[in-house]
Amino acid sequence: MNRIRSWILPVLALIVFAVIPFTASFYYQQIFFYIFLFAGVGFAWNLVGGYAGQLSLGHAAFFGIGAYTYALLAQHIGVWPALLAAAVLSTVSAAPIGLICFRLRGPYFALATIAVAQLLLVLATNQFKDLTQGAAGLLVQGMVSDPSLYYWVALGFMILAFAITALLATSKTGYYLMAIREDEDTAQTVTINTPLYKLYALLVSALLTGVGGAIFAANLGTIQPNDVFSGAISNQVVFLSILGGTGTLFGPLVGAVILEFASDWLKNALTGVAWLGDPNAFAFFLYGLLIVLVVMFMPAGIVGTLTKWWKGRVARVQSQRTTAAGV
Amino acid sequence: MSNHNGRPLLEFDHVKKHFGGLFVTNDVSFSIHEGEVLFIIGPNGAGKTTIFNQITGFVTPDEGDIRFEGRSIKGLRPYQIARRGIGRTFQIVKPLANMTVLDNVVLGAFAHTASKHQARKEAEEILALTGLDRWRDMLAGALPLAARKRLEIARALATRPKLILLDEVCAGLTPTEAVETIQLLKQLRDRGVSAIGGIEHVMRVVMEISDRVIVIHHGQKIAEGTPQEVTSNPDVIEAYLGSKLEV
Amino acid sequence: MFLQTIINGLLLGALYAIVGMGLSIVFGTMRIVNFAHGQFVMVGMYITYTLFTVFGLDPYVSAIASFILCFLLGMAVYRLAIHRIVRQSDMNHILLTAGVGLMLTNLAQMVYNTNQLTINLSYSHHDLVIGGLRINIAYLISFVIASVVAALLFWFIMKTETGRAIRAISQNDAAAALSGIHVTRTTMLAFGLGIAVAGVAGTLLLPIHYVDPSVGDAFSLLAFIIVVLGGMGSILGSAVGGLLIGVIAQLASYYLGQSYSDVLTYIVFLLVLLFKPSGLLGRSRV
Repeated sequence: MNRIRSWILPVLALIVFAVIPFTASFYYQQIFFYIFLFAGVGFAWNLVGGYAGQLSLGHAAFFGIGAYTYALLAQHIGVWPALLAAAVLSTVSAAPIGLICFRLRGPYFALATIAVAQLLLVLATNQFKDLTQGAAGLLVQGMVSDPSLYYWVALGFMILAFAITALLATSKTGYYLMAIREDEDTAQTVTINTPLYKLYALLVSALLTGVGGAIFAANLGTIQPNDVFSGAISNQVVFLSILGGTGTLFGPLVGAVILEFASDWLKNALTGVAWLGDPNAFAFFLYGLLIVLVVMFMPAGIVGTLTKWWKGRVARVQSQRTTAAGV
Repeated sequence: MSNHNGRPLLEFDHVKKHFGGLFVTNDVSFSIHEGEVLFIIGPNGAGKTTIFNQITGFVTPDEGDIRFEGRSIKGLRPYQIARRGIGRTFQIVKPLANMTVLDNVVLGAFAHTASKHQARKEAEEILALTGLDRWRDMLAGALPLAARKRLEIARALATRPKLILLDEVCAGLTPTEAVETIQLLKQLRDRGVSAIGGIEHVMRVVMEISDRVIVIHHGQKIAEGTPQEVTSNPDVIEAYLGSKLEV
Repeated sequence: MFLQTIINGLLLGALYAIVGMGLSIVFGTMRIVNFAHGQFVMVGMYITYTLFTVFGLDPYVSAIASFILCFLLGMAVYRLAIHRIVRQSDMNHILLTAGVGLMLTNLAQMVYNTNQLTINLSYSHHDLVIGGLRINIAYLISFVIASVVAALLFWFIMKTETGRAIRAISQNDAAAALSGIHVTRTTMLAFGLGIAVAGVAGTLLLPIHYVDPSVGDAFSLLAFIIVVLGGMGSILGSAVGGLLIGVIAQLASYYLGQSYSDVLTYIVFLLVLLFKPSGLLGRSRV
């Protein structure tokens, strides 16, 4: 019974998502494209940042590696082999990055991930300019013939990312990652090889993030290092997960839906309001304020807070029932 | 003498460890045999917990060897030692606060099964045994202290350890709660635990369930024997002067 | 040329040192992981820019304004937001301050747009020549003021009553509270002081470095690099870390090319995190 009920919402969502492209304009299809894409990358990040509790602020590294691998190879080896290569390379790159960064804990881990992503950004802009065309931008071969089809590509990616993370998160691996988040010493005393599991989570996360980067690049048509390796990408993924709820299955999707729609609505509503200056900047200002408020008042995020509230309600009802039965 | 049968399960062999210029473990040797309950006592800061930390791999000894079932475990990582069959609790309890009581124990059971169903089943049994089942779905961080101490035991027990090391599981408990914990410890053997090592300040607990006691003072072993022998040893009384020995 | 590059590095490094010292108080001493530190440097730069272009105020005079305004801003941010989560995880510190940083960055963009702004001082193009070595006047003045600020800060932390209270809290806040120190007020003061120093660093940087809304992120990372390099909780260490990064950046820039200064800085940072996590001068963090 509980099992069936927990599937109602996802199935409903899928039906809605399947109908949207037949009713929505291309403009809204693109908004949904970004929702799906960043929700998918958010799911991937959530494995490391949410379940395992390792605050990566450098996921742009994998996003960018995936994007450039695809962009550089698609013309030569074909679109889908290039996507596969993007997945493989971003996963492989996660091994040394993980081995370096996971030697550190807490804020030092977060700083190291930023440094790695920034290093790649600088290298891609300057040292590997011959390869990436630097800030001039690199043309990217499209994945599908019709731009509106990217909707489906992103939806497929998100479902894949959800399936993989949900499968891991609800199994033994998920328990192990959560134990690592709560206390690494205790995790070790119950036989968990904590370095290995952290690396495992990062590899899976990097794979999905790299695929996300490739799809992002293909949809954009031309990329520069700042589009894919920047701190803005890393932060976007983290913030939407925080808003939705880290360490929850659906959090990143909820966060992505709210952030994309809110920022789209704000940008449209504020365009032409002269005293505000750049409406885009104002939207990001509010975005920052939202993050501050969420951390202060709702650190479990939307899904996390609702789940807690619901569990509390159920527990209350149960205890009332047992009391009544006792009387 | 103690009621153990035969070979030592754990051998702590001439171990030395110093932090800075201070020896926290100074040439200490002892062993724990199958079927035995051994308690380590000593004044605060004597180096008892450091001994546990060396057995479980959180601290590596400078000199000497530690063997479990005849094989050296010195230098192994904590999770590798846990896999050999040594479980432990922490003096300062470390519940996985944002996981439920049940999930804390399920986590332990995953040590020997990948099946969630199987792990859950075992965890439920252990919750019943440890009297934690009424808190089953509560977040571990919200438990009262006595229950948290029990949860530490339950989680360690779920990994099916051969040797379980209990670091002050009775500290801070009311006398009634301590009695309940003693009852629990007596049942651990039924769950396949073949030996227990403990650190304890509450002497009533030590007297009641230990087969053998060793006394650590300033990082050195100053006495070893049955609880009665040890508590009447003049060196031990000397060491405890000023800090009352509650017999 | 090598000697000239080293001197340039030290001149730049003195400014980096001030950036790092502000964070050293906040992060190293008070254990608040402030990811918006660079944004406060940016605020100092914009304050100085505005006072210069609107009132023609010399940037080295507006250092005082930067100090006071950033001090108040810092204390306000602490009281309104950080105070509520200061006992929570590092993760929450990072996320909240990153949110504050995003607010400041985009507020700056709303007011000043994305243009790279610089100020043109009559004396900033003059060099002092000593024995064939050229020292830019603007750099030199900034260097001197930076040294004075560093010395004052060091004196404040080590010698004054408030400084002692700050150090006591960093050792053990429960014990500090028991000995009659008002922990909340002192922490707020220390945070404000760190931010004020960041603001002054912004002022000193403006004559030699452009300002745009994105400089905040770069300076935040730089500040952490300096603090980690110098060793946590050591204000003197941060000074050395800043000088070192300045020299490394200038050497890399001169011998390998401009873009290598960042590359080398990040690599040095990662190496220090990995092999000497207590910093080059610091106590162990373990």
